[in-house]
Amino acid sequence: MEALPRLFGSVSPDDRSLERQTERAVVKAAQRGSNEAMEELFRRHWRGAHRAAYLVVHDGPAAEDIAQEAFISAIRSLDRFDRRRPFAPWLHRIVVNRAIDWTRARKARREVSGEAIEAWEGESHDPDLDAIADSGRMVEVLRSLGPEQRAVVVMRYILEYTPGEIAEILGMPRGTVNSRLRRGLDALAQALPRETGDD
Amino acid sequence: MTDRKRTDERVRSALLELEAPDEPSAEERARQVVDAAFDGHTPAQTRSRMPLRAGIAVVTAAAIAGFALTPAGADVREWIADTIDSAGEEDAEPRLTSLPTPGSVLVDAPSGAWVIREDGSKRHLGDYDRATWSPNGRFVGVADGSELRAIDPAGNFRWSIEAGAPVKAIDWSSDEGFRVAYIAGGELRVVTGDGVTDSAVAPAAEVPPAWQPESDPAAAVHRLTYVDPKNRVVSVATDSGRVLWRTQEYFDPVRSLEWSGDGERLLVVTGDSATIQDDEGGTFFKGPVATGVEHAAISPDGSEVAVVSSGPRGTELSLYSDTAPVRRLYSSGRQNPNARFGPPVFSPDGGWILLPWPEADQWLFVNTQDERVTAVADIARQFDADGKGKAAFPDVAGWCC
Repeated sequence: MEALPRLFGSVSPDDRSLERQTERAVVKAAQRGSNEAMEELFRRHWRGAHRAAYLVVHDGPAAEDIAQEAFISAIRSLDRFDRRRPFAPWLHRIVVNRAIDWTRARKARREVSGEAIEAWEGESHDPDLDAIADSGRMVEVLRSLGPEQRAVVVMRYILEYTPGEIAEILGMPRGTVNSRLRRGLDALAQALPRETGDD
Repeated sequence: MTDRKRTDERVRSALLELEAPDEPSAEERARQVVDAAFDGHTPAQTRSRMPLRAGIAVVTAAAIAGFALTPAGADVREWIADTIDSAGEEDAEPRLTSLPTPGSVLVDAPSGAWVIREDGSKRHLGDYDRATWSPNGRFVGVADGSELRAIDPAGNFRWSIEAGAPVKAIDWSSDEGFRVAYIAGGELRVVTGDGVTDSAVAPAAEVPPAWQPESDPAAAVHRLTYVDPKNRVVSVATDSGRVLWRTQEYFDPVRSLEWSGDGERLLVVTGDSATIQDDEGGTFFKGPVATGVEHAAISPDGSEVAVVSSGPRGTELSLYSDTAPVRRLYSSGRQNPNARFGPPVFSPDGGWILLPWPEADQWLFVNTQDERVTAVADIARQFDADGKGKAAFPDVAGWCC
C-alpha cells in the first residue's frame, strides 16, 4: 500500500515532541528548516488568523488570501524573527493590518462606484454565516463598525489580547483601544437576542 | 454579576461562535500554500556573518584601493581587450532565444513596453512610455502620457487613472503590492494597487521613487523613498505622511534609487558616484568616485553592487561586495575605451547581470560567479513592433521573479 504523502515532509526525532514544545522552541526549529515545526506553527495559529481576518473584512475569499499571505510573509521573514518575541502577536499584527488595509480600499471603492456598491453588498450576504451565528444581527452589527473598531473587538474577543497588548500591536493609545472596545460592545449588545426569564 | 458584565460576556460568547465560511477547506488550501512556500524557503544560515561595520570597512577599503586590485577572472576577460576591434562581442547570438535564468524581463522600447519570458518569447504590451513590474510580476504598471495604467503581463487592462500631467516615473510597492507610487506634474503621488484611491505625498524631482521592502512585514509602515526638489533623498511613511529621515542635499543630481530586497540598503547613484545608505539614511559606502560611476545596481540580497565605470581597460562592469575584493566582471576593451553601457540589471536570483550595450546593439548576460558572458546581437530590431526597420535601442525596465 502506497504511503500517503505528508504535507510537511518527514518527522525527525527532534520533531516528535513539538506539540509539547514551547512556542520559542517551535519557532527555533522552523527557523532551522523543520517542516514539522512549520506545521505545528500552522496548526496553532491558522484558525485564529483566518477568523480574525474574516471578521474584519467580512469577505471569505479575501480573508483566506489575507491569512495565507500573512503566513507566507511570516515564513519569508522567519530568519529575522526575534525568538524572544511571541510569534502569535507578530502574525496577528500582519493579519489585522492587512485586513484593515483591504477594508479601507474596499470602502473607498464603495464610495466611488454605484456598481461596486451593489457588488459589495451582494458579496456580503452570506446565508451560511447567518446560520452559524447565534443571531445574524451580530454579524450585521459587527460589519457596521469601522475596520479599526472591528479589529479591536476581534483582537479582544477572538484572539484574547488585553487592551494594553492591542494598543501595542496596533500602535494606538490604550485609551483609544478602550473607547473603541466599549462602543463596539455597546453596539453588539443591541444584536443579542432578548433574554427571557429571571437571572 | 453586573448587567454590563453579563452583557459583555454574552457578546463575547456570541462572537466566539462566529466562524469564517468553509473553514476546513480554507485551512487545507492554506496548508498546501504555506507548505509550498516553506519548501521554497531557505533556512537560517548557521555561518557567521561579517559584522556590518567590519563589512563597511572592507568595502570602503576595496573602493579606495579601486583598480589597483587584481580582480579575479580579469585574465579570463583580458583577451577581449586585445582581440576585438569593434564595438560588441564577436560571437554574439543573432537573436534572443532564452534568458539564462528563470524570470521575465520588462523592456521600455520606443515601440512601447515588452515582456520577455525565460524561453525568449516576447509580448508587446502596448505603446506605452514606461513600465514597471509589480512585486511578484503579476501586473505591470505603465504610463501612457498622463495616464497611469495597470495591466497584466499578457497586456490585459486592469485599471487606469488620469494623472493630470505626464507620468514621469512609477514604482509598485514591494511588500504586498498594494500601493503604486508615481511622479507627475512635479508631485509624488500614491495610488492603491486596485487604482481606487489616489493621493498626493510631496513635491518631488523626476527620479523614480523606490519603496523600501519591509524587513518586518508586521510593521506595515509603507516607507517610500524619493528625491525632493532640493536634491535630498527623503523617506516618508506614505499612510501617515510622516517624514522618517532626510539626507543632506547632494551636490550632483541624484539619478537613481534602488533598495536591496531585504530593505536594509539603499543604493543612491548621483552624478559620478554610487552611495549605499542604511535604512535610516546613514551613509556607509561610497563607490569608486575617482573613476566616475556611470551606472550602478544593487543585488537582490543587498550583498553586492554592480558598478559601470570608466577604467584603464575601457568601460568596465565591476562587482563590489561586503566580503570579497572588487571583481571586474567585464570590460569593453582598450579598443572601445569610451564605450557606454546602459544600467546593469540583476536577475531575480542575483546570478546574472543584464548589461545593455547600445552602440554595439547588444545585450550582455554576465554571470556573477564564473564571469561567463552570453551576448545577444541585433537587440533594437527585435523590439521594432511594426517591423519597419531598425528601431532605437530599448531600456531594460526590470527583471522579475
